[in-house]
Formats: sequence, structure tokens, C-alpha cells
Amino acid sequence: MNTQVIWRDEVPLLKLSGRFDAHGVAAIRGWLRDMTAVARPRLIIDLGAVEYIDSAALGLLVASLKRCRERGGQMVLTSLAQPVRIIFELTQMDQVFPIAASEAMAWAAFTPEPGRIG
Amino acid sequence: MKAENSSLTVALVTTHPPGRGTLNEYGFHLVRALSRKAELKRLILLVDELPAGADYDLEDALVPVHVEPCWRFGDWRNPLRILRAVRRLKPDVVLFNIQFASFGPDKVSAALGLAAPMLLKAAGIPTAVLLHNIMETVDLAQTGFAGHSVTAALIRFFGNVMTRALLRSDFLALTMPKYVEILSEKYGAGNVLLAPHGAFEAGPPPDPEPSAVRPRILTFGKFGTYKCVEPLIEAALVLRAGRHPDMELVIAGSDSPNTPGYLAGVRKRYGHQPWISYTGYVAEQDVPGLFREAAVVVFPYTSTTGSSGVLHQAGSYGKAAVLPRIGDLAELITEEGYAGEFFEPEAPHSLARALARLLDDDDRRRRIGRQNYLAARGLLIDDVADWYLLHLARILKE
Repeated sequence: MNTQVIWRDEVPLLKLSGRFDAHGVAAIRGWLRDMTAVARPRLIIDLGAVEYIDSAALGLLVASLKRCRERGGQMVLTSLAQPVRIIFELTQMDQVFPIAASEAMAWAAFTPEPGRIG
Repeated sequence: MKAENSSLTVALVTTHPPGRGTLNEYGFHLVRALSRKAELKRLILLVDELPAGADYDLEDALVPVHVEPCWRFGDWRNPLRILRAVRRLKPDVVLFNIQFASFGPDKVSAALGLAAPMLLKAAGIPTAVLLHNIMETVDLAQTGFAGHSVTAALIRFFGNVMTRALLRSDFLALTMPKYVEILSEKYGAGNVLLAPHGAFEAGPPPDPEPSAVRPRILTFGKFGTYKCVEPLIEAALVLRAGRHPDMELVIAGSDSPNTPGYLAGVRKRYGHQPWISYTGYVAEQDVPGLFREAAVVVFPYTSTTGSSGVLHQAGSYGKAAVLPRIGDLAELITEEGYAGEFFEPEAPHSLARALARLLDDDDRRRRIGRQNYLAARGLLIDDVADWYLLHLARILKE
């Protein structure tokens, strides 16, 4: 899995590509823990180029969302690729996570209701 | 730190040790995970009644836990008794940890118990169900519920009715993607979701090699219906007569509620064999040692009823598995990243060959054990508990 971080107005956007599985989880777990350890963390994760996601990866996203909310912050997912979208629908996590249709919408709407943004 | 839903009181309808009902092991670990979630205000356990003198003993809970024994395996009144307990204790939401035979050994009590979620929902109580199996994939004859095709057809009809009743819940969580697809397509259900089984234990990679000098084979479960140890004993006899004369076999667990006296019958049939150990019921604290000392974990099943908790445990301890070539287990292997050797169900020589492939090849056994460890470590039941809390918070918000 490849990763890239883009910062804008002190908000990081993590772009993931390739297979997001147990190995990918190990690669970004520490970074996500750091990003969600602050007060009112804000975070965007772009899953547009993820070809495969397993339960361990989804578990990490859920744990990160929970930490963000515990600290009064928000985590937004954006640009779900088809394989990712299928897993989110199967687990109905698409009804739990704020999901933006595009990167621009993710930046624009940062405290949305759970569900799709735009 | 308190979360946004810190006022949530959850009631969990489940079995739990020292109760010996099916899913008690899963219930133990789910309860342990939930009882450590700071976002819970209170956890209410609606558990089965224990024999006189026995008592529930929960440890390490970080949130207040109230234990309410309010139902009994085989009791036709279970739905009403659960409803009464819920009305009295007033949880925000109720979650059931069940399978089709959770509430009784006979068709009537089992079916009536499954009506409890619908009853609660009709009473205006937010209700969710974690269902570990679905009727569509259960072999009724093998699991001891129907020996005749007409009986099986009748049970399937009522099974469909009960599935529709369970679907009246706010959501129905299933542990396998295939189950979600089947119920979504057959019943047009939009409230079915996947919630993986989750591994019970987290920790460093265990030593894949047992300390015992003699190779020890472990099987663990509730035996007598579709989990039968005779083919395993026959396979062990084959191996002991050949390259593994010191092989030991540990049969851990007790009779299925549907087949009381099964293991006593097996012991009588095979007589005293010092290399076979029958542990009987295994207390939670004895489970780790049981797995650590095993070289291989065997699943002598002729059918399955859902995602296997024992397979997740075998993976947690880095053990290679020997599994039958049948539906659910094979799918679980591929979908969740596990590996194992396969055998034809009820064929002792096929099972002996599968065992030999692992016992004779240390590298292969260790490699499969490591793969199973990685698969089990992927998603812990502690993470799965978070999934449930998020979904429960969602339905309350809706």
C-alpha cells in the first residue's frame, strides 16, 4: 500500500492506494494514532485508489473514527473506490462514517452528519 | 475519556460462563470487550439461569454491569421473561447474541425464543441481533434438528418465518458475507449487515511449537450432532500404528445439548485409551494452555452452523488447523485469510492423511500456524464491539 499526506489549513488528508490490509494497517496505525491523539482532531482519508480493503483495515478506520469523536473531532472519508464501497455497504459502515463524494467536498464540509456529503 | 454516546445503556441477551449454552465463549469475550467501553453508562446482561449454587462472576469490568438471569434453555416463556426484564431494567437498546438453537433443544422452545427480538421491537424497544448462523445454510439432519425430509421441510418453512421475525429488529448482524448476501436477496432485507466474528485474544506471536514432546492433537467444542469424534479417534489410531506412535489426542468440551451422553458413549465404545484425554467442560482460564500445548487443532465436523469461534482461537494461538471440506469453514478460510489442511468429512483415512501432512512437515505446520495467527490478529473482538456500539448509536439516533 502507498501513502501520501497533503496538509491544508492544519488538516491532513491521507491518500491511500493499493491493498489496504493487515500490512497496510501496520504501516499507518502509528500515524493515525498520532493524528487522533490531539484535541478536536480533524482528518480526511482518501480511499479512491484503494483496490482492496479487509476487515483489519476497516477495524482501524472504525477505531480512528471513534478516537476522533471521543476527542470532539471529526474524520471524513472521501472518494471510495468500488471495492471499498462494496465493503462499506456490506457492513453498513457507509451509514456510520461521514463520506464525501470528492476531495473538494471533503475539504469544504468538515462537520457533516454521518452519511454521504454531496 | 467519555464519548458522545456516554449515556448509553446496553442490554445483551447472551449465554455466558459458567453457563454452558452455545456461544457462551463468544458471550464471554463480547461481554468483556463491551464492559471496558468507556462510552457505556451501564451494561445489562440478560443471561440464562444457572443451576442452584452456581453464580456469574465478571471481572475487569470498567463500566457498571448488572447481571440478570432471566431465561432458561428450553423454556417456552423465554420471550415474555426477557421482555419483562427489559421493561424493568430499561436499557436504551437490546442486543441479542444468538444462533438458531440458542433458546432450546426442541423445535418449539428454540423457535419461541427467536421471537423475543420481534416482541421487544413491537414493544418499542430498539433491538439488534447478532445471529451466528442462518437457516439457509444449516444441515438440519446433521445438526440434530430433523432426521426426515418432511420434518426438515417443515422446519425450513418455520425457519423462514423466524428469519422474517428476526429481520423485524433494527438490524441483523451476520458474521459472514455470504450470509448477508443470502438474506438480502431472499428476504429483500435492507437491515442486514456484516459484523466479522473477531478474534478473542491479542498478543505477541505465540511459539508455534508445543512444549510437550509428544505431538498433541486438539479438538474443542460441543460434540455429538455434527461434531463427532469417532473419525478423529480412528484417524489417530491409524497414525499411532504408523509414524506417530506417541501421538496424543485431547477431546476438549462437552456434549451438545441435543445429544446428552454422547461422549460417555464414545468412551465406552473405545475403552480406556491412555493417549486420549477427555477434559469435559473447559473453564475460561484453562483455554490458553489447552491451545498452546497442541500441535494441531482438528475440526471433525460433518456440517457447520456458522463462523467458527474455535478456528479464531486456533489462529490466536498460532495453530495450524485441519478442517473438513464443507461449506462455511472452507469459505471462512478463504475470506478471512486462514489456512489449513482439508479432509473428507467422516473419512478417517482422509483425516489421517491431512494430519500427517502437518505432523510430518514442521515448516508447513509452522507456516500455516503463522498465517492463522495473522488472520486472527486482524480484527479483535474488542474492535468488533466498537462496530456494534457505532451501529447501536446510529439506530438510536434514527
